[in-house]
Amino acid sequence: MSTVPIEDRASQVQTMIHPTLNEEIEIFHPTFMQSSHFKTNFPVVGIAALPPTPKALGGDIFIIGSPKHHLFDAALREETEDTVPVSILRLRPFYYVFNRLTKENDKIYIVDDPRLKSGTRNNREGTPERKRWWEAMPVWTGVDFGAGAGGIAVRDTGNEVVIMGVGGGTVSAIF
Amino acid sequence: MRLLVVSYPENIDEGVVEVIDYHLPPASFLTNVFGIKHTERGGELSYVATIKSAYFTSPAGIVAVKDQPSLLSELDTHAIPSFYLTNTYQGSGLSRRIIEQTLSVARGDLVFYNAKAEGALRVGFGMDRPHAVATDDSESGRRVYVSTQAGVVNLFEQFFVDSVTPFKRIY
Repeated sequence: MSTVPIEDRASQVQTMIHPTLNEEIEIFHPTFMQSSHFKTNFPVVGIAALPPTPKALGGDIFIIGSPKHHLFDAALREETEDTVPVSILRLRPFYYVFNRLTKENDKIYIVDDPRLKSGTRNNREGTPERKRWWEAMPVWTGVDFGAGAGGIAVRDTGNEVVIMGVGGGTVSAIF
Repeated sequence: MRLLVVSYPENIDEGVVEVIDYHLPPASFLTNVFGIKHTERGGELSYVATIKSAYFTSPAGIVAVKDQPSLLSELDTHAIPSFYLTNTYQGSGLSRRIIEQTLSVARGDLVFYNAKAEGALRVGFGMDRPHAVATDDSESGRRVYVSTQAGVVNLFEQFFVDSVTPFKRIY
């Protein structure tokens, strides 16, 4: 099997007859692979992402959930409004690259960093496949969400990043 | 004007996706008495469509993308967006209760609904009760993040691989 990726969506486009309009259309069914994952110590009930900056490995993502999820679960079942702690985390993708000078691992956040070209088997300037890591930063932790965490939305306004989380009838905006 | 999509389980065995049109308030303008005048359709929600599919087994999360919206016609004047949807469980009835809930076999999946083709396909599977879904590329969904109730966040990336095996003749 060829391992050379075809970075060309046009080659994957298929034609078909539209089911109701009865005309030929071009469609693209995306193929996915699960490239990485990470695990938290609480069920993640909401997730939102920012568009990536031009050279970033991917957009920052924001997750919301309750470290005391059993309280959230009990509040839902009993329809009570117990106070449930909620956490919002910001996650940023990076690669670890071993630095031969400092003998330590450097964190690389952009795709064109020359340190990523550490060499492959037949190419001294090659870029090897690397595992993607996620840097987690708590954005907010508190009990202002009433009966627990719900959805989360995030928007970069240019000057600041606005994060909105909802849960237990409360909407909190964080700047 | 923009379209919102909402998913929810219709009953224990299947779910639906509602497409709702949200009319952004038109630019308010100052009248000659310095008041603010709103037009009739400012900020209202209106129903557009309901989409059913055998792939929507127990929808939990949904995210829409701009890529490949439905084709407009004389009858359909709203372009429905394509979207990604997570199913908490894949099976239904007894199989769901025994295999997925009792034995905790991870069978939740990620489904892509192609509005242009009016069809769905499964693009990710084997997840433990997936819930919310998001993408950092609202144009075409090159990277899709799926969170699960087990506390795992999965990253799915689109890839383009020549899947045709080169034929090698051996003499």
